[in-house]
Amino acid sequence: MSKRLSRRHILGGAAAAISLPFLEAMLPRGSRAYADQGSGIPRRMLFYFLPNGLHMPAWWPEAAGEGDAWSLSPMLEPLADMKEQLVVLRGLANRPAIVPVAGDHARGTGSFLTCRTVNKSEGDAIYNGISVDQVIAPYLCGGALFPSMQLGIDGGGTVGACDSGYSCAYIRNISWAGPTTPLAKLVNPQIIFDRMFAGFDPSLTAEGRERRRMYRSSILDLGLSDGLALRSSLGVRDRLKLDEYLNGVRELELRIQTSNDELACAAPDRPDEDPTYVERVALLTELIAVALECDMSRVVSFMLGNGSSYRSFSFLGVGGAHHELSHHQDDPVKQQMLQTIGTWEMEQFGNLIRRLSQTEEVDGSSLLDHCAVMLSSEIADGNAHQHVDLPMLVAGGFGGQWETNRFVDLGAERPLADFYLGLIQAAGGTETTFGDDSTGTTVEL
Amino acid sequence: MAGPGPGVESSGPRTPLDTLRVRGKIDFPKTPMRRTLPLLLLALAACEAPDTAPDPGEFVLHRLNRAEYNNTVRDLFGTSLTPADDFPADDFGFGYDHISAVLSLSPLHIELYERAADQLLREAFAPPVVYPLDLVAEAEDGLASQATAGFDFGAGFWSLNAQGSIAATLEVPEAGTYVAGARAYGQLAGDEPARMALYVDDVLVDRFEVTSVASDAERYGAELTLGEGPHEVRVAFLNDYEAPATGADRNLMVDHLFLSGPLGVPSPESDRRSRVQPCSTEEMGARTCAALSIHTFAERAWRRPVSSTELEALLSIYDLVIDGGDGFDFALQQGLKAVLMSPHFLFRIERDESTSSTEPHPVTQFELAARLSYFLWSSTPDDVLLGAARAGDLSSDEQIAGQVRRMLADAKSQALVDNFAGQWLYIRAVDDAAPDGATWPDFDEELRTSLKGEMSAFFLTFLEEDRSMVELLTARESFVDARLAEHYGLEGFEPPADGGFARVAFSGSQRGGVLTQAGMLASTSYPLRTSPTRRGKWIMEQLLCSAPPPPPPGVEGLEEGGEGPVPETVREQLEAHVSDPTCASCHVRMDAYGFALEHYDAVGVWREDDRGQPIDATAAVDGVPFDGGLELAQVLADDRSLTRCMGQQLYTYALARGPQTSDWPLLNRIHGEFEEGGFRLTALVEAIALSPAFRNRRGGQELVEADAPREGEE
Repeated sequence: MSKRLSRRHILGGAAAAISLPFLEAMLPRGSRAYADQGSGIPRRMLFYFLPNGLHMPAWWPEAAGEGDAWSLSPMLEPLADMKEQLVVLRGLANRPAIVPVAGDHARGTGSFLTCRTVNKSEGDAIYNGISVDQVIAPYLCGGALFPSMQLGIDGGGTVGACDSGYSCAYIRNISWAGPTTPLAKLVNPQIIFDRMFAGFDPSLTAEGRERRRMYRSSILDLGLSDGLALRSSLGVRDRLKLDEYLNGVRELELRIQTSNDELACAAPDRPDEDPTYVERVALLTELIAVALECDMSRVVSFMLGNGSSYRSFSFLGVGGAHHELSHHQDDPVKQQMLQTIGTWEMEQFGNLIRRLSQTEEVDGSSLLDHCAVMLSSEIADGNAHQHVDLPMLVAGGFGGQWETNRFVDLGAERPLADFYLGLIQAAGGTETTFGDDSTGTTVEL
Repeated sequence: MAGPGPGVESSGPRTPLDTLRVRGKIDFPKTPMRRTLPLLLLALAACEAPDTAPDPGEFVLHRLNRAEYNNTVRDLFGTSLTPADDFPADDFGFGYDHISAVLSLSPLHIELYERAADQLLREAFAPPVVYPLDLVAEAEDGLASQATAGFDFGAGFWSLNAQGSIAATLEVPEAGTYVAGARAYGQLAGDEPARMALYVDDVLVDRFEVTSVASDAERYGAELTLGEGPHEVRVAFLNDYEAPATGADRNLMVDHLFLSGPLGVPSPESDRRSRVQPCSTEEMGARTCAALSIHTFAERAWRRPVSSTELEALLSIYDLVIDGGDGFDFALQQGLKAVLMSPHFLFRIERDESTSSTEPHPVTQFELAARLSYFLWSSTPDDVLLGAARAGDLSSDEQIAGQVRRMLADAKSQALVDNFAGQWLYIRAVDDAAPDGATWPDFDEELRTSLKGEMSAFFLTFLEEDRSMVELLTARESFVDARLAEHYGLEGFEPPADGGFARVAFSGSQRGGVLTQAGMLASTSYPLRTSPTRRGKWIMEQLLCSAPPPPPPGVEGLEEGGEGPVPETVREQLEAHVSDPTCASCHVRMDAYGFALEHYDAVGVWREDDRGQPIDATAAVDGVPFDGGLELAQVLADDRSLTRCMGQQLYTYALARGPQTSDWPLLNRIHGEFEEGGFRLTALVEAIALSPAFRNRRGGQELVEADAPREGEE
């Protein structure tokens, strides 16, 4: 062990002792390593977001059933080879997104993983709740480098005005650390790659690495103590802003202290610059898979587009902006176009889960067997801005937690929040409520 | 440091709207002024509000946004790196992406800040580049291009012992004159020296007789002009000779290939290191120099004096690295990195004596310096501004106005074009315009750049020239380059010598002012067609500050019958659905503005008909008729809402917060000064910079974190 220079002398001892209650709750060390009972294989959860809903008549399978008793719908056909890994669930509603004013895309996206009625604000009074991936992350993280990752395809727009008086924060972020803290996502494949792999400098000795780690921690400690000193002289709203900084510093510090020097896997090639949209989707798919393979993270949220996306799918021969098309007014031509887009989206999802199914765990099972990869959208049908009867597709059995190859029709409407509560408990969480409208009774897969 | 200013009069009686606002247990952010708030209420607020000591509003701790971070490090380091491009996108509020209350910070930011700091410091400490460069490909590292070429490992020479050649690719950093060649000698045999041909990028440059021998290999080279980027240097051996009988063997031995240059070009800026390390360790000792460097840098980066306690804390990082044995450079870098990772750098911090008192008080000189520089430059105060703050020279109106004039004259005020006009006039939105490729095959990235270039160059004239902002709509001139002249169908356009933009006057009835600029027209269109509604909304929201309310639930997105070609004209289609009274209440006005622009298609090209039907560009708003874009421009130019809105937009931008009802008296006053100043942009900038809202601040009311508002609880 190298000479351990104390960081205490920088902080003068005092600052380090000051604790922020919400910071401590961030990474419950005691709750780590909730691996599969017995097998020791880690479990992962992914949340895959699609914008603008889907053409539901072509998406829902026909009749509920298990195994051979249900068959794929036309839009799910690209997942044919993965059918045994799928569960389609019908009957979920995200009622907190229903408010009788415009802004369904912002509310639907903002509450996608929170099941909260988000506060209508252009920005300075955004208010949401913690998202399900963030509730689950501490239970699954098991010391992974990143407790959770937020990835996506679209950055921000170029000018303001996102959705009818709702902040752009609601439409671009599905992961929320807390009511006022959206977790920004990364969209640049090179940066995502660097974040995963660039920290490993093979030219350094173990001792050199240890020293670098100490320097980084010391610099962050100093920022932390500056922030804490500053905090006491600030007003309440300023303090809320500063706490975001303190939180982030603390999180990075924990990572520096817990990260390994050795990579669990070989780094792939660094992605090229300026990929096209289609290339970027493929790159992100690969990076997500690598992040799981290398056990860098066990919880990932991914946005294939921002809520209410205006992307043009001209490469599929579909002209026009996605959001505009989604208001199809029952025009069969537009519905066909939406089906084309949605089918392509299912192909992308298929590429991800197929990739995960090809990675073998130590016991011969696949990585996907230990995952729950959930797919849905901020609305069901775009024309109706519908927040009930939401599409729900889950791939993987989460380590034998539930049976797959099923289409489950719940019959009666159940809150999406109850489904998330079930995921939380499946991940080892002890929560008994979630979002605005969970009943406390979980929807089991 | 943040001392309290002399007391300012109490904010006086509250307006009726304020009274409404404070009802309830919490005072979350001041209710943003609805842009649709009836004028009557505004007038009421204006009448009753006191004219002195207006509420400066709450200045929330301001995280540097992406543009501000990039500009700030540009000015601190003299770098051209823009690390914030990779930070998460900043959220918008009130039309801008730097609204303090909106900017949030996620853990990801911290990581990217660290990455950015490392990148910036690595560059700052990199050895300076001195021209001419000597780019060399050693034999040891090069590639022999032909199998016949041998390689003598021992001596580090390529041995060309047949008519072979060797080549290497070298990267030229900057276009210019270079000497290309090889260091070589000949193993002599026969009756002539070794002959060598030099090729660059497969073009023969010169031939040489290689007369030097093993003991004194020489460089053989020739000058040529090269562009930036990779170039292949190749030498070929031309006269192999071998006489087995005598054992005579002529070979060409090449030590390395080289490119030297550029010649006669000044070296790139080499004071990067001295910007962050203004001393040498020999001169004053390592630790003293480190202390001086960190102190100087921290004061610039934190935009204020740095206390000795703060300096000691930063120096402890330096000491830590020195103790770890990692050397002066790395130690100083880590000390400077701590400056960049500190909240004092990442946030613009302003303080109150009492955090809960809503009593307005002047900001400190340093806080004001930062307010000015982030308003006009989207960047950190320069040394002049910091010097003025240190001397207390940002006190009187004349002093502040003098700084404003100086700063506007500086090239850094381009930030007002990029960030203010970029968002206000939607110049940035041109990036998002997505005309359908099949319908408009000519729309490419080059045209996109030209569209933005026109809008930016046009707006810049309002900063640089004494002209009224009303001309933003009514000017009969603009800037076009060759690509745009073609797009606009301007005949006889002579592109300027540099191939860039030229100022052109318009005649005829097609072009004039921002309403007819293709960038705006394209960015408010759908992929397959124009959208009078979106264009009308842009006019109402951006130019008149009276955004129409969002559509009622259930019809959002339906207002124009969706996307896609339809048999009737866009206008006919819109008029049909506006027969619905619910829609009509807003659409009549919005669409009318848009109809006037129907002669401009979805990429802003003039057209006479829409799907075979002649264009009808006549419309009326509030009983005032107009026909086409130029008449509409004149109608808007005559509307007081236009200049009032300009004031409101720039006020929002300057204060990085949404306007609130209590701002109205001040906005009235600012508008008065704007008008007195002939509606010049510089007059507006000055009026805002001198206003009490810009120079004062106050604490906020305490709120309980758990009590944030929820929908339906109001």
